[in-house]
Amino acid sequence: MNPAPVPMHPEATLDPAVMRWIIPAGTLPVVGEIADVPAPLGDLWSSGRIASITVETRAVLIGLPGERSWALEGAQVRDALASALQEPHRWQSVEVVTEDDMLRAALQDVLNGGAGDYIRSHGGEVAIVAAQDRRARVRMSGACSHCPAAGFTLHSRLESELRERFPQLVELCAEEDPGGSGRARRPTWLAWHRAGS
Amino acid sequence: MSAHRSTVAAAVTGQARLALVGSPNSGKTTLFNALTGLRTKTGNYPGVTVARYEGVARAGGHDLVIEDLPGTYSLAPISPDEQVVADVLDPDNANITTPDAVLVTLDATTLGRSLGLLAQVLQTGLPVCVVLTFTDELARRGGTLDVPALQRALGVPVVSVTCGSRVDLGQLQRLLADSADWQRPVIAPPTEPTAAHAWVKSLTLRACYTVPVADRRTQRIDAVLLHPVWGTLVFFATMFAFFQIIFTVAAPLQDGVQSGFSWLGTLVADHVSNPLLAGFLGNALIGGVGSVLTFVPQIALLFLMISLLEGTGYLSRAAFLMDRLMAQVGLEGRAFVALLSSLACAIPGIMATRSLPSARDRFATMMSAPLMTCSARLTVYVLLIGILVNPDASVGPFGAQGVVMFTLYLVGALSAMATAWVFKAVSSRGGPALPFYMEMPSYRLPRARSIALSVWDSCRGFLRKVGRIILVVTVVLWLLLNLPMRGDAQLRSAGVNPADKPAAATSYVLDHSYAANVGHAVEPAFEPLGFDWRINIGVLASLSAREVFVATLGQVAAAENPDQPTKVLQQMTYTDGPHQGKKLFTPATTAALLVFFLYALQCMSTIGVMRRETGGWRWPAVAFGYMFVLAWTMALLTHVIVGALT
Repeated sequence: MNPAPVPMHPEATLDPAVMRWIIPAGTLPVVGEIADVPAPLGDLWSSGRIASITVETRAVLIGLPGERSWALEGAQVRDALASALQEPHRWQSVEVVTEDDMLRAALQDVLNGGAGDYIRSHGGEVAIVAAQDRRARVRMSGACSHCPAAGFTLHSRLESELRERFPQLVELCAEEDPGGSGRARRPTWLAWHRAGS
Repeated sequence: MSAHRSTVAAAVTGQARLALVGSPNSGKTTLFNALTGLRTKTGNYPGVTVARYEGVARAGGHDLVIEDLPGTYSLAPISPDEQVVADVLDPDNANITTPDAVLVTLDATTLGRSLGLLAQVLQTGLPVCVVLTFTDELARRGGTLDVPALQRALGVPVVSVTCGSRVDLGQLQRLLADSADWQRPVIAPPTEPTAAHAWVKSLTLRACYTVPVADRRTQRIDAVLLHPVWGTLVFFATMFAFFQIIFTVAAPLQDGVQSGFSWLGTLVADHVSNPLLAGFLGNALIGGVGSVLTFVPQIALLFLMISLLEGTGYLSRAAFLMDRLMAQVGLEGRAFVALLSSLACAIPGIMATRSLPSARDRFATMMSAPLMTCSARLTVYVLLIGILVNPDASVGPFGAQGVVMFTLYLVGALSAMATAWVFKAVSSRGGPALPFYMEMPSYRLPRARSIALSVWDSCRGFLRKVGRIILVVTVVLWLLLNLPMRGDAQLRSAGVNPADKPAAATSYVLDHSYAANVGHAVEPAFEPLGFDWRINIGVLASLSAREVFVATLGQVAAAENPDQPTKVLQQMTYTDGPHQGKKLFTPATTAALLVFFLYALQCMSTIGVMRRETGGWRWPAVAFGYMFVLAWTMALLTHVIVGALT
């Protein structure tokens, strides 16, 4: 491994066969199920020692076939993954991944993570409405409706975390839940519009 | 896996063994004290925990053994100290019991570096629990850390313990109760350095770790204290103040203890009618052992100040300032740590040389450490300076006695340096330069409890030494000084009437005792230094422990005038020989004695530790030999020079 290795570490998942390898956002240009990876990870996969590979915005999920255990295979898979991460452009997903897909996946990762937990812990709900052309829109409902701090949460937590994962982001905006207030749908353009970044 | 086997074995015997691992200054020893309540020293001072410490902690209704391992930055050992940690954690090493589980202390303010050590501990496969320390300091200095995220990423339990918090400690104690059930990482961290570095990087990212800004307070203080000019000045001023305080503050306390013993002495004289028993109680116990005990205030003060310097973090700065000076004699800053510890006692100093990776440096430091003025010399110095220098005399604004004391310490330190240089030069055969790193911890207010424990420990150690070696040697000496017994008839025939002059009778017995024979026998060797047979006896007896010299002179003096022993010593005269009738403690003789004590290796415990640390009698013999020759020669020179001047 001549170039600087990609920072990564494993975290166990609920499924003992599946290990989540945490990597920095933006390491791989793909998300979702993987069709092809560079050797030697590819060799492990084609020989059946790895059952599945899925990429998230900040992780690679690798599943082992039922009869194999991470305690024994872990070190070898780790080394194979480390060298495969040196060649991100040779990773191919099953479906064609557009930039919009990358944005949506990044936004989903934010909502699944700490920022989403924070909103849910306050009784709020956030859902993705759209992710297109480097712009994203979410719907904040539940306790978020009329919450004066909703705009602050949107920017200080959601937007900054999304930008870490998707640096090309132009804007993130929110709309209120139409059912909540009974008023007409009214976009709240809280974002400080950044004309491209 | 052997780790599993040992867990099972521990469950059967019912007593689990846990080891504490962490870098120096990571709060490891503080945690150990909090968990076990066992009294060990804590400090900001790298290399202070070199001995093996064990304690028993109670958790969930069970006792478990906790072992405090020496502070280490890595399990790839470069010093004997780190080797100990590596050996203990190696399940394949059959010589040392491998613990059932390991507690790793991680200093939250230096997480990146600490995680490297953690990775190595996790590779051993032992169950690990991480204890995060200094999270309060991290927050104060503007750093952040997501503890639950770190726990998820590591796959082992992570507890944050702020020093002294009972709640945090309770949480840790609940965890300790079932170390066999700790979550373990499925995949051990990588061993290869670049991959391990990537692992550490990934963890810090995941735990949203931001490095704290440098402590402003520490930076501002260090700007002065580590300054090449001001820092050095402050260092010498601190050391000077140190010795002034030992004299000025301890003197009234010492007088108090002294008068307590005088009172006991009069009690004995008034109430014990049997002359033999009265002599034993009054002269051997109160006069001899009591005179050593009057130094307890000084010892307590010395250790109080050393632990204050250590606890605040100043000692590592002092070592840093001295690194350049040490380099002149071919040693490194870590050797200074050993030499500085020797100010208290050469034994911890010699043990602190374990942190030196180079064997040549270790021997050179070990040979020079006993020259540093230890607390045992302090007792002798105080007594002799009291005779030599008028307590009211002053040098400028400072007490002359304190100045003389400081000079003795300085000469001791310089001689130690010179010795180190000579031993390095003699044994130098070239070799790879080994890395020197030393941490400058943030200045911290030491905890009063730690300081008090440290002072108490040292005083207890001193009292124990008084109770064992010094008491035994004193009693033996008393017997030698008072035997053979003389009947009244014998005394009368020698021209002494015990009825009118009891003091004369006592000195007759003394002057013709077995001890006197021995003292006279070695007279030719010490005569050039101005010593008479009584000093010779003191010097010979002090080969067991230096304080015995004080006890011996105390006995001799108490026999003549129990009320004012110092005055007796000042007025003591030669009893025979060419100088008969002249004052014994002339400035020349007293100075020569001081110098003799400065150089001679009169300490059985030091010789014992040296033998243990070097694995043979060769080095202790070399040390004893060279120091005796040096002591004799320097004392002779002093005697001649001071004799010519006065």
